[in-house]
Amino acid sequence: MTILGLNFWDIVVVVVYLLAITGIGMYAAKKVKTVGDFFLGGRKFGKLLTAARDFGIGTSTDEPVVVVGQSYTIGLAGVWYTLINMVATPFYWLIRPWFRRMRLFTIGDFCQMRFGGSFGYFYSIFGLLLTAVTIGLILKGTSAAVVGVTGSAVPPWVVVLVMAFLFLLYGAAGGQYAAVFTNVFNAFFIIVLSVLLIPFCVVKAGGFTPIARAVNNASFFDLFGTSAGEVTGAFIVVTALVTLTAAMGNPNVATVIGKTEWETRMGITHGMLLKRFCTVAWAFSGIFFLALNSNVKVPDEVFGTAIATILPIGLIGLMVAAMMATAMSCCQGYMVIAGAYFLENFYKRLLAGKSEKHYLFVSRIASVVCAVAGITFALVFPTLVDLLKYAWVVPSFVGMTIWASLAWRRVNRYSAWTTAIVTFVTQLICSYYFKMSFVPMCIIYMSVGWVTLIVVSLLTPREPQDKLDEFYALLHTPIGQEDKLKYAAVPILHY
Amino acid sequence: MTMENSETQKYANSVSDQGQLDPQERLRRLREIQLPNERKIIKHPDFEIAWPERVSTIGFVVITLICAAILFGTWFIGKLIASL
Repeated sequence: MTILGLNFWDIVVVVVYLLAITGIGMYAAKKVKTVGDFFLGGRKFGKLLTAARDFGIGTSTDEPVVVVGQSYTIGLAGVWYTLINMVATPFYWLIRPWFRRMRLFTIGDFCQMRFGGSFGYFYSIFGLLLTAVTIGLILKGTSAAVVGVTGSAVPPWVVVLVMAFLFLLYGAAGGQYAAVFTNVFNAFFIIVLSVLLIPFCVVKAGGFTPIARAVNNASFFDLFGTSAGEVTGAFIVVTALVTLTAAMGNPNVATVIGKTEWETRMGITHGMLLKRFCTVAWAFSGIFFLALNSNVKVPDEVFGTAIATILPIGLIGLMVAAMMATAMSCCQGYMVIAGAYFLENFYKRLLAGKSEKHYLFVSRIASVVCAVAGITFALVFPTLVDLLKYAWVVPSFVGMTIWASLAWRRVNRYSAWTTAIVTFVTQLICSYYFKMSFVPMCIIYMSVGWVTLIVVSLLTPREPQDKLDEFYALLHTPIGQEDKLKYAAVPILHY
Repeated sequence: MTMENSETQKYANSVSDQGQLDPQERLRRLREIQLPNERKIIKHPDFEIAWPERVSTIGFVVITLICAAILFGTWFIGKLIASL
């Protein structure tokens, strides 16, 4: 019996899995007593839970959709659409503890502390928007995959709304605790989801040799992109630099939940390395599926079609459920971050001195509102690859300022503002007026941005000395040595 | 008592709120807890890049090697299948 394009037993698996995830999320709500619990889980998490959360929030269903689709279309080089972030992985080992030491909630707090009010507000709006876009990207990718599995029997907007309803339900209640607990549950299924297609494709094709013969194009197996498509050596190098810069401007980079610096750095690097293995599996899945079926025209639908035509009953349902649950956990993590931006950087500044209960209520409402904005993006945005490139570029407008501000005292509010505006305008002119392709556009706007940052920093007044001293005192004082900060009365936002 | 412990104790005994401290004294204390010049890579008052701790350096190198191994493994498997 088929319902909505899926077998009855697949539907049962999907429903049970999603209810289990929602139940875990609702259970987590019991642990939330304060705003710190809601946003950061009270920063009580060890290595395993931190790694599971970072793996979960860093791995969303849109990524296998893009990588499988692009590998199917252009070959193994399609892996770079996600693997490009690997360049940033060793740097996470260094930079995450810095943000743990800053003892703050968001990059909005960071900007407020380093550059003063106006740039802090600017980044907070920017962070809220970017978070909403990210939620949109995840929901869109997941709905495309599920539509592919069901043979378009379920419209994408229905998939988006079902996921949205469930993650809003437990997300608003459980906050960061719900994100962590559901991600632990999902982490296992993300890994299964990542590798499951490979054995079934190989068995169905009759081994690796028939796959190689069916693809019949050696360059299709070239990691460095000699096959057709935009993924060339220059694309890889330039995009790696952009993503490394953008890593610092990402709204979730400062939202660290580890108990100490050690848990923080172990969590992020293990989570991200695990993700890289999954990414490679997605790419091979795309190529192997091509050997079995070369008739899928829309890249975003390849992953879903592969699941529907290759996997047996029961496992199809498990894949759909894991995809949806992964997306939900990820979106829920982002909606919590959005709530932190609103509460810490706007609401508390306007209405200080309210009770913890009041702030917790506002956090929940703000999280839901931002998630609704993301859901709207998911329903109106164009293709996934367009969105993904947008998500690479935009955080770098601020990322270069944040990188520089950690090392150089001369970086100030004037250079921060000018760099953000100039890079944004340059990127727009390159893209829309000169209609440049991705690589030259990135080279130009990044170069213009760095030159602007250095020149304006040198030509304009410094930030107040005591504010700079407070900032760098936080940055250089390890967790556990807070007495040193209290000795000089350095304000600490959140331990 | 180790040197580090005695230093921590010194700070713990002098914990203050911002309002309690004379502004000049606060500035002096802020200066006191800044990164010492000898721990900086670039010994210039405008730069704040500390020499990385051993755990940071070793971890960075190890993770870079793991990433390189993932890339090499992917490239190798691709080549292997293409050669069949």
